[in-house]
Amino acid sequence: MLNFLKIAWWKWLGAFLVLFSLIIGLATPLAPGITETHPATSLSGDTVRMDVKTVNAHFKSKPEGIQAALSLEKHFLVKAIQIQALNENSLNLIFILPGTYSPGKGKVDLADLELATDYDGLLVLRQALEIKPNPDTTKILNLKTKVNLGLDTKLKIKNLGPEWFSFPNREILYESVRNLFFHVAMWPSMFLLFLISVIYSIRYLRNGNEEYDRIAAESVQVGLVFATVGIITGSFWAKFTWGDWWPNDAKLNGTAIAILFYFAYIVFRNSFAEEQQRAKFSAVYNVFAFPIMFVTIMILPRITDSLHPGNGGNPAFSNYDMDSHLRIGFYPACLGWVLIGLWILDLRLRIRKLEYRIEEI
Amino acid sequence: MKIFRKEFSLLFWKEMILEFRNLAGIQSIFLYTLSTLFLCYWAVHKLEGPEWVALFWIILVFSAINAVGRSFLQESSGIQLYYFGVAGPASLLLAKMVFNALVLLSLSAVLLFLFCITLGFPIHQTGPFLLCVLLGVLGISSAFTFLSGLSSKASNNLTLFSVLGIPVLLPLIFVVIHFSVNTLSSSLGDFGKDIMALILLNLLIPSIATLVFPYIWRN
Repeated sequence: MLNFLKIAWWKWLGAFLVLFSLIIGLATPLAPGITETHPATSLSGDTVRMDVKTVNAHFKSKPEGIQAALSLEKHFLVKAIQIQALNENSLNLIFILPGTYSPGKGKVDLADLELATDYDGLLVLRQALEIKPNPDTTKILNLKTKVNLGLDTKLKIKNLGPEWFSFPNREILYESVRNLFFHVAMWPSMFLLFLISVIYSIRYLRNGNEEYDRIAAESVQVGLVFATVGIITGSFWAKFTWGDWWPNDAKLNGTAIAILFYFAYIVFRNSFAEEQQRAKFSAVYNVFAFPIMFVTIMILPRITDSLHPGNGGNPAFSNYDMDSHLRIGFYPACLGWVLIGLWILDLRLRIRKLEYRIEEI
Repeated sequence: MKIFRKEFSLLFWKEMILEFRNLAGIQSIFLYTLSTLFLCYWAVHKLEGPEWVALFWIILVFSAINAVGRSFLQESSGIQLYYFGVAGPASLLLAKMVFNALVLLSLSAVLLFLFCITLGFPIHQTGPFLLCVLLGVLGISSAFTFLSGLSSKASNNLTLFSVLGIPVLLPLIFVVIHFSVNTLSSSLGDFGKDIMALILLNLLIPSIATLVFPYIWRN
C-alpha cells in the first residue's frame, strides 16, 4: 500500500486538489451584496426612507461601523442620517437629498447606494436611486434649515471586502463565479495535453519510435475530452450570464475550431490502413495544425471583439480581476485537473501498450 | 538556392502547361462556380451587406476545395515517384501553391465580376476588400495545397481532404469575413488588426507546410 502511495503520489495529489477545489468552490459563500432597494425614484430635496434588502450580510449580529451613503454624480456622498437594521439582511435608511443639487437640464441622475460595515466590507448597488429635480421649490428645505446633510467625499471604510472568507460578488456573475474552478481550470489541462501531443509528434518524426506516435494520438483524445467539457461548462455559464447558449464570441469559436481540428486528426488517423503511414501523416498534420490552433485560440480573440474578460476590451468585465480568495481555489483546481488529465493519459497509454503486446503475440 | 529556383520554375510551368493542354480541368471548376452562382442568384436576385459577403466567400471556398483538391489527388503514383527522383519537396510544394493561388485568384476575379453583375456590389471600400480577397485567396490556396498533399496517400481521398480542410480553413475565414464585413460600411474603419491577422496566417501556413512536407516526401 505504501509503495503504491509513493509511486503514484501525484495521482493522489491530483484527486485531492480537485476535491479541495470542488469543496471550496461550492461551499464558500458569496460576499454580501445588495439585491433590491425601494423606492426607486425620488425628487431632490426630499426625505427618502429607503428599504434595502441584501444577501449574505450580518447587519443585526455585527453592526459595528455601519455606514450608508448615496453617491451622487459629482463625486460627493449624501450620508444616511438614520440606519436601522431590521434583521440580518434588511435595512431601513433615511436620507435627506440636497435640494440645491440638480444634475443639469434634462439629465436624470442615478445615485449609487454604498453600504459598509467593518465585518461585511463595502456593498454597492449601482444606480439604486433616480433623483429628479424637484419642480416645487418650496419643498427645498435645506436652503433655509441648517440640517446636517452629511455630505462627504468618501466613506471611511475599514475593510473593502468582508472579514470572512468569501468570493467576490460581481454584477452579471453573482453566484456563477464559482464556474471559474470548473470551466477555466479545464483549459490548462487541455492545452498541456495538446502540447504533449505535438511534442511527441515532432519526436516521432525525428526518431520513428512508434511509442511516441501512440502517445501523441492518446493525448489528443484525452485533450479533446477536456476541451468538450470546457465548452459545455462554458456554454452553461454563458447562458446564465450573457443570456445565450452560444454567444458569438471569438474565443468560443476558436475553441470550437480547435476541437474540429483534432476530430479531423482522429478521422485522418482512422483512414490509414497501414501503421507507419498513419503515424507519419498524422504527426505531420499535428505539427501543422497546432500553431494554427494556438493562433486561433490565443491571438485572434485579442484582435477582434470578444465577450470574454481580458479580450476585446469589454468594459463590463474591466474590473474582473482575480480576487485573492478565488486564487485559493483556482490554482489548486488547475493543477488538480492537469494531474487528473495526465493520470487518464497514463491509464490509456498502458491499455494501448497491452493491446499492442497482445496483437504482437 | 539556384537549384531550388530552377526546380520551382520548371515545376510551376509544368503545372501551367498541363492545365492548359487539357482545358477540361479549369473549365470544370469555372462551370462549378458559375452554376453555384446562378443557383444562388435565382434564389435571391439581389443581396445586401453581410449576406453578400457570406455568399461570396462560401462559393469561393467550395470552389477552392474542388480546384485545389485535384492538384495532388489526380496525380498517378507513377508521376509521384518521378517527382521524388527529380525534385525537392519544397520546390514541388511551393510550385503547386503558387499555381493554385493563381487559379484561385482568377476564379475569384471572375466570381467577383459575376457577383457585381447579378447581385450588386454593396462594398463601399473597394481597396481594402480587394486586399482582403487577395490575402484570403493566398491563404486558402496554400493551406489546401498542403492538405491535398497530405491526404493524397490515404484511402477515401476527396472526402478526407474536405474533412481536413474545413477546420484548417476556419480561422482564415473568420478573419476574412470579419474584414469583409467591415469594408461594407463607408466609414473608414480600423483594418490594421485584420490585415495583420491575415498576413500572420499567410506567413504561418506556408512556412509550417514547407517545414513539414519533407517528412512525407518519401511516401
